[in-house]
Amino acid sequence: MNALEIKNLTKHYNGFTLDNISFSLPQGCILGLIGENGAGKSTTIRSILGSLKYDGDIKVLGKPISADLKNRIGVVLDEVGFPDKLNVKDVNSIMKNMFTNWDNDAFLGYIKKFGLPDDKAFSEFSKGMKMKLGIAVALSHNAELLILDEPTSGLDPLVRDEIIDILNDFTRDDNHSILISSHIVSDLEKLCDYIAFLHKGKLMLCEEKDALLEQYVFINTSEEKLAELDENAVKGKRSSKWGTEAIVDRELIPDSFDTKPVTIEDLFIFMAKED
Amino acid sequence: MMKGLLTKEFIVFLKTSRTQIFIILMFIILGIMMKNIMYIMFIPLLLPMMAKQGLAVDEISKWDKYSACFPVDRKKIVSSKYLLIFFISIAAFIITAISIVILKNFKPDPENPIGRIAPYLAAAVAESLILPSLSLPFDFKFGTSKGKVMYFIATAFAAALLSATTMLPDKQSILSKISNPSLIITLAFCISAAVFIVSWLISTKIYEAKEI
Repeated sequence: MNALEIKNLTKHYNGFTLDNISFSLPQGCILGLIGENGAGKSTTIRSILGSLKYDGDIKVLGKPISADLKNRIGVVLDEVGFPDKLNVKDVNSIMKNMFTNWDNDAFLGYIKKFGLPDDKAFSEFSKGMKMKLGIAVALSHNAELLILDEPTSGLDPLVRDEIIDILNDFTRDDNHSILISSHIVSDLEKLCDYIAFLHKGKLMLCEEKDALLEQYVFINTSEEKLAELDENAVKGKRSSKWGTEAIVDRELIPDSFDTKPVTIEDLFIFMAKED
Repeated sequence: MMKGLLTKEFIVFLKTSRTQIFIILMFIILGIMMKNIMYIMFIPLLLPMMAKQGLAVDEISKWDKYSACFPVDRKKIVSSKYLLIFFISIAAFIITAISIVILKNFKPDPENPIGRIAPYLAAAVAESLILPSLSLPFDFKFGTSKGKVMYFIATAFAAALLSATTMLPDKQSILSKISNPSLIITLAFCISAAVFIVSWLISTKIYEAKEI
């Protein structure tokens, strides 16, 4: 079963269109939604949550989104929106009356693990602390699917790494899945099984991460030699006075080329620039 | 769930309104000390306004967007706001009634005895329920900064109306004609409740159609 299925998702804004996006997230996997700022990642996530009207079909855990279904989903948005005067105790009081399956002990366990003060006002929290509180809430009602919109944005590398560890822990259960969006590609590279690449409202690719890293390689060559290759082979290139560096499809180039492995970040940057 | 939303509304109300609650206490004390009922009549104006400011808190903190993460539908989100205002309005009515009774005992007025406080109580009910009802649909549609303008217009209109009634030359004869005080309070409550319910339905429709 797919934890998430998106078919032909289209959303028009003035000056921006999320254009016919389709992808799915198999249960037990982590899918990273990569894209530059304004690529359509948040629009996709807000559509999944039912915050926006859209064309297309979205199924979450096999069903259209509903208020009741959100008991089985944990969501962290780029900004955790608790009112400033609330503290951890208040958040606990609210959430245990909000979710049918709220796990008080799990929440207090996360609060302790994250070192969050339980009597300090939310306004006095740092951005990292706010994000950790949002994650604690998302993880404390036995969610099967986590939807995270830029959870590591604006955080220092140490906190980002901590959050990635927490998310890795979450997916130890085979029924747990994560959809995570970020423009910090290196974070997603550490975490994800699948990568979906959004660029200017279009889905450029959605594939298994390992398959992408296997399929695409760097070559260093000249413009002339590059021009001789199958045009479908070249996904992106960067030219300088010392030569041309290109990301190519390994299957579509001759074996004679010296190749170097790419990272997802390289692939993202080269494909975005090529477009 | 609704209980979670109401818990949040009441916690936010209590935590953001401490200073205003103190100001309301001052109005009561001033009203009694100055022997002027008009100070007390500010209570049903101010208390629901304080409850309504929870919407602005939601906008500033982005709770309105964040609430999409929780298992509550839009109708319940709107309903939680209206229920908070309803409960606070009831509280405002009770506080106003008690304050007026204390004032009347503190300053007995043979021409305007305690039995004639019905018009004030009716006005208290109307103020506390109708004023937020007029502005809440605007808050949900356009945001609280524009909704606030509507609230001020409605409040200014109510204040002008209230002042006009106190300046009527034959005020006492009008009051004396009110033979059934409970009828006027019931009537005021029914009209106010009807406006409140219509406002609730409109706000729900608006918020359900809105992209957040």
